[in-house]
Amino acid sequence: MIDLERIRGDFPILDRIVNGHKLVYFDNAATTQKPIQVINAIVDYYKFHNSNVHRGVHTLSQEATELYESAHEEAAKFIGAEGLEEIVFVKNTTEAINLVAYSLGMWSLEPGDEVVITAMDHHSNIVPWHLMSELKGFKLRIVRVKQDGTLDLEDLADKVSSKTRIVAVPHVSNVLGVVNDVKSIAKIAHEVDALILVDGAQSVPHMPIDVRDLDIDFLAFSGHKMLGPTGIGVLYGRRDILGSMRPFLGGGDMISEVHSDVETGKCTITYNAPPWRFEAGTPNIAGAVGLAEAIRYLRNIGMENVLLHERDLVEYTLRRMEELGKTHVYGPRDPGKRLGVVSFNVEGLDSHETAMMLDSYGIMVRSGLHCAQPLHETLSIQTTTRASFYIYNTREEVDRFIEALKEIEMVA
Amino acid sequence: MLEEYIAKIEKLCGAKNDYVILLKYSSKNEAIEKILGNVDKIELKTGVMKKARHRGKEIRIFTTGKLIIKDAADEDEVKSILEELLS
Ligand SMILES: Cc1ncc(COP(=O)(O)O)c(C=O)c1O
Repeated sequence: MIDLERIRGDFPILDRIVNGHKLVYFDNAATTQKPIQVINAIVDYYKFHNSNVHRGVHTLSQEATELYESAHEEAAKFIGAEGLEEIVFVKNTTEAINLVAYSLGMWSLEPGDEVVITAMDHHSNIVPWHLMSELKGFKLRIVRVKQDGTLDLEDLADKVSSKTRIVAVPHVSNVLGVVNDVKSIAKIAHEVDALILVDGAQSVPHMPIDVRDLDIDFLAFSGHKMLGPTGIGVLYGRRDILGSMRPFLGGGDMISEVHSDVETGKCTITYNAPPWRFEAGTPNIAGAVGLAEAIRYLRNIGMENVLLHERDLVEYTLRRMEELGKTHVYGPRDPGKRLGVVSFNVEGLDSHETAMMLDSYGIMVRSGLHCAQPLHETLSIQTTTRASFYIYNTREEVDRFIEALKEIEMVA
Repeated sequence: MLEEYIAKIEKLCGAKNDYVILLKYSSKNEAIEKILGNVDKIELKTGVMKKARHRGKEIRIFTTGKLIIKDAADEDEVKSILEELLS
């Protein structure tokens, strides 16, 4: 069980009055709020430790380096990785996926190869592969989504073949909250010697994750969706795979030696070992410090408890939404098949009108395509309104949401 | 005149020709009053939203200081409707 009152007390923003009402923040799939511990950790870093990392011999640089590297260790422990060598800090999930798409795409993929993605994906797991396929001439295969919003695993098994080099899938849909069986998908990918990349943007913040148990090769996630600051994200890569990959971005810190010949114009460069090979230039050190604090905060609550709390809220929300006459909910009805995301439409209103009306009640939800246009097209929906939950949300807030929707239905 | 009342005009995500207009907070009540006085027709009034029509376009007016103009040809048309409504 989680101590909701204590948790809510850690989030100063939850005391805000918005449009005359106490804030209800149901836009957690877009980004989460930050506890005071994370805010303080960032302020503390800038007040007392700020310096650049790596190769500095002075005390502040050593302190900053220690904080930065230990943040990698925290992230590694959080997802069951072997150690910091498997954790690359990036800007966000999007950059993590681009890193893999560009590094492997540029140097390892060729015409005749195939990369498998899904119609459930966020645009950030579609566009990088599309761009690279245009450049390198490999083929994209896109796995179907069934009408109940779950992934068609038979179609996936059909589309994965000896030509497949990478299978890139979302762990949890950001529109429907559907949880995909990535362990089985990893097995299917590995049977044909393909690599599997999992977009964990909507799973890592909400459930226990063990990359060894899932047997996945890459996992991408964003700090800002798990109580951390914006501008810091993680790419987990299996040690041996990262070790064999070429860098994505070039610059300082990702090399161990650079020699240039002014006569011939030739450079001889030795790359650093992972993870630094993939972290060119001065990184987001304060972001890493904030992320480490966010991870400690979540670990103290326990990810099993986070999952149970969200399941309870979704189950309660779906049950209470049955009271609504004109509101259609998308995705599986079984709360066991989904995490804390509920997308819906109110008859007679478009998704933005619904979201703007909820805003008038102090309830923040998102509307539109949620960067998942193919999924909306598959389900023949133009756009949706989305409520998404996190550890600080309560059943009382769901009650306010339902009561507001009842009033909104009367206007529709 | 638009600068006096309008903070931002944006196309709505996933909607082909619908635009959201954010009114400046300090002058939003004055702006809403002008708009309601100038639209061709008010179709529905509720506490949080008014449905109106102007030059054949559907307009939604939210008390929070946001508007939606539906099915506009482009941002220029949105601006010209707003010029009329805010005059
Ligand atoms: C499933 C999924 N993948 C990727 C992303 C992209 O995350 P970011 O914008 O932090 O890169 C999101 C963000 O909403 C998401 O929900």
